[in-house]
Amino acid sequence: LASFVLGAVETMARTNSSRSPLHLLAAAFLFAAPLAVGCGAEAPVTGDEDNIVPADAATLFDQAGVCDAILKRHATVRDTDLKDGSIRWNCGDVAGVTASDRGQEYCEYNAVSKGKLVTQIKDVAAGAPIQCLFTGVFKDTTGKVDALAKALADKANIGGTTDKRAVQMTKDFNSRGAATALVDDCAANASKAPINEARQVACYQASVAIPAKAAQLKKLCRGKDLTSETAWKKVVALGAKVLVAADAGFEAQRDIAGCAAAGRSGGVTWRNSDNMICGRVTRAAAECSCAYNDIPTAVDGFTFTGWTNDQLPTGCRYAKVAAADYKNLVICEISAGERDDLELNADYTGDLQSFCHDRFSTELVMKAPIRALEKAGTCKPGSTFCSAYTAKVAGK
Amino acid sequence: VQARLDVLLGVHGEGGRQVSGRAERARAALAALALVGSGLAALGCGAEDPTVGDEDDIAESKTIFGDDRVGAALKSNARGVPGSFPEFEKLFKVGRSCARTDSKEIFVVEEESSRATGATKEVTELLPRTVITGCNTDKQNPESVRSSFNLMVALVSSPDAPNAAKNDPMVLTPVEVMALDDKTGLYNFYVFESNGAGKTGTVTRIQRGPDGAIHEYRKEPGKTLKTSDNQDKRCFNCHVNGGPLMNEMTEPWTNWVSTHKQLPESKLAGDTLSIVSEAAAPHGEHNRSSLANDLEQTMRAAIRTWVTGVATAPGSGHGPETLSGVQPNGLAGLLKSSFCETELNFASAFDTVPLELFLDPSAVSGGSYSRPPADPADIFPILLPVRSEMDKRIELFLQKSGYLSARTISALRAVDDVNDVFSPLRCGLYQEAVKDLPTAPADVDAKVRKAIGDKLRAKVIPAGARFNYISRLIDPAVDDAKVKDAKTLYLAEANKTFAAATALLGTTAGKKQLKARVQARKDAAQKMFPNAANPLPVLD
Repeated sequence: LASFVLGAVETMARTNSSRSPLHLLAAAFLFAAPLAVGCGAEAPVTGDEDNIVPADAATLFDQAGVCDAILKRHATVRDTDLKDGSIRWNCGDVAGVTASDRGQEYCEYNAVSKGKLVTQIKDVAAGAPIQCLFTGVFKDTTGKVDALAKALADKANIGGTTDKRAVQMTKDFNSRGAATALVDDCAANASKAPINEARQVACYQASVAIPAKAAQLKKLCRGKDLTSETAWKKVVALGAKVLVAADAGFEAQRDIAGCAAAGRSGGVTWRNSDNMICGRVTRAAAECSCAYNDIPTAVDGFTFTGWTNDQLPTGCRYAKVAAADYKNLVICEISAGERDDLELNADYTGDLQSFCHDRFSTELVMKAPIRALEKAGTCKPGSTFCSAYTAKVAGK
Repeated sequence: VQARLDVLLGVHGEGGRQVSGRAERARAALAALALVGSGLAALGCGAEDPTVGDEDDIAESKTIFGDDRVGAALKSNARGVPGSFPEFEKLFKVGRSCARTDSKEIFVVEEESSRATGATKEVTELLPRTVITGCNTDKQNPESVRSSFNLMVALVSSPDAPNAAKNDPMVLTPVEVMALDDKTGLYNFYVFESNGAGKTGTVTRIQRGPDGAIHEYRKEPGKTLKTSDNQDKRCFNCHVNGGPLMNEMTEPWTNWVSTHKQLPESKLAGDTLSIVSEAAAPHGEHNRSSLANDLEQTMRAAIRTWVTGVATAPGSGHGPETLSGVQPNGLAGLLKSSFCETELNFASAFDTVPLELFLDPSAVSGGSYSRPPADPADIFPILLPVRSEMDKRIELFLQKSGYLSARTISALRAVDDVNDVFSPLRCGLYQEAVKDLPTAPADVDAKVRKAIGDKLRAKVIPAGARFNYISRLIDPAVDDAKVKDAKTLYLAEANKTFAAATALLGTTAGKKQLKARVQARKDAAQKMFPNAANPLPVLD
């Protein structure tokens, strides 16, 4: 029971955006099911006025659309990451995440001035610098925050006593435990893909590829169970096809299907991170027999990088800790011109966190070295995907 | 002002308005220059070009170049003028010669069009164009982005390029260059042409005078500097205000190689392949990339600096230089950016739909509006004309200079809160506002407020929350707290309008209505730039 409760808490921790641990524990006793609830893609936002996050996709058909967009957003880096054995996604929150819910992607960010956390321009002393501080330090990393805060006081970093809320992530779902649970659940559920899942993805793809039949396909598939051969035949007749390895587009379809599994594995279906991680793990486990270890406690968090050659975006640098780059904390400097403009921008004067989001977070990238978590020798090459993912060729 | 004019126009070639060559020579010159833009018609006929010696070459070079990276490299190096892009990138250490290990700052956009003649010509195949920026090797420094935007090169492709038949369609000569002037804060435009591999190239500088007239200064090696006036706007056909240009400056950066879009697996070869493959290496051929994601930030910084000026040169920049009369159109020209539009950007849907399809985001700033989700089966709009970063920047400059207050700007946006561009109502105020324009900044603001007030009194805007909000914004006697109250009520009203507008995405009839709105905007954009040489992307 204790194990069940803890597991449920971790699942809840990574799925809930703003609930307290106590609330999580209470909720865990009530249910531990994946939260595939919401109002559907047609309803963009939900929640109270302070906590606005997107709604989960209501159906697998909708989720295929969400996954398709996420994968297209990362299309250029897909093959590089596959070879690298890693997954990357934007630190920046997806559209629809606002206010205190910002920081959904194993990355939290705040504006600071001389180390003080500042939310409004009026909190900043005249002429004082403003920096955007990004942290990827897991909430459950222990024994680090004081040393990191001390290091940030150095002139080479922030140059002031830095608020610890900006140094280590504060949200429950931004924890090592939550990330490990996500990987575990996605791996465990990988081979349990219902036939409906692959068919929904195929139907979604057909609806995009054949606009003239999009409405019909959507009507036949969205929210419907395509396990029934009778129902599926009607969809196939309109052009949908579950592809096999020899078919063009097979890899893209499998990527979407892997991502669409995030919902049934407890992932939050609108987060880039959950979809990217679960998509890759699901495929690797289902197709290459990969099994995964927990994220070691020696890992402080997912590291920051950029889209190209592990370089941070212009204006950003890693915090220096013990004279070395510390890859879980990034300082992005605001140029003098931008600082000047902030005073006059109605969208940002009262919400400097939004500025940090809009200015830096989409080009600041989180990196998860999925291959490094593999239980030794479990991943088998063979298919195109598995050979690329394992960086091995079958039989060698 | 005179000092500024001297800086700007310090290129009076001693042999000014030299007539050149025989008819045959003129034809050849025009044929070559057709690749540059619209031709140097004024270089027509006459006697042979006088030749000059090395010392004269150097003296003339000092006058043709500005205080920019091009001038720094060539003012005392007349023989070093490059004639082709490979020569240019070696000299300036940009492009494939950029020392960065993560990016060569070669950004690629593909369209079914060619701009090799200066005009946009639609073609049947995708042709790559590139923007190459100046190579910033100090990325951690937020101010260092200037090293990228202080030198920019545009390369275009053409089905008529010498090696196009060999899948190498990029035109490597002439080379079109913009360089930020450290003293004026403006961009200087240059065109470099080849006189044969390894030979000193010919350089032409294209400049816009205070009266808006276009002047050209052409220096062939060993010949005297030629000046000419040109009826065609040349570079300013596209760079309308003279600043940098990136049409699709927001995600998903339609047509640009970005995290969203790989380089197509098209058959490219030679220099074209070598250059464009720097944008991204989808199969891990190398670890470098130049994604539109990064170019967006470079361009935003470039436009900011170009409008407001170089910090080390007070009075520099498009805004101050226009106010002082060195750049054309004066204060009235700058104000046009607030009322109407002088340039456009283009926004596209990806997984969400641009807000501009429904409202003017600036009118409801602070309202925390989120873009609604797009229908994956029917993604639109693609390349919706929206208010340009340039016009927003110029407006910000006017605000910082005191010509427009924040409240007046908010009122102007609220006058038509559903049209960020092509607003007959807002643009219709412009002529009245700039008529007999006063000079004192506060008086200008008052005049604009009066123009808005006159419209309110004419009942052009219906009674309600928006009317009340604008009324309070333009009344200096109303304190900020009361304006805030009025804004709260206005935003509540705007929320309803927004909800109704976005609901159109959910029905076939609604989508049809929205698509008609998109098309109307595209038509208006075409009307705004009726000439063949224009900055528009392919909108069909």
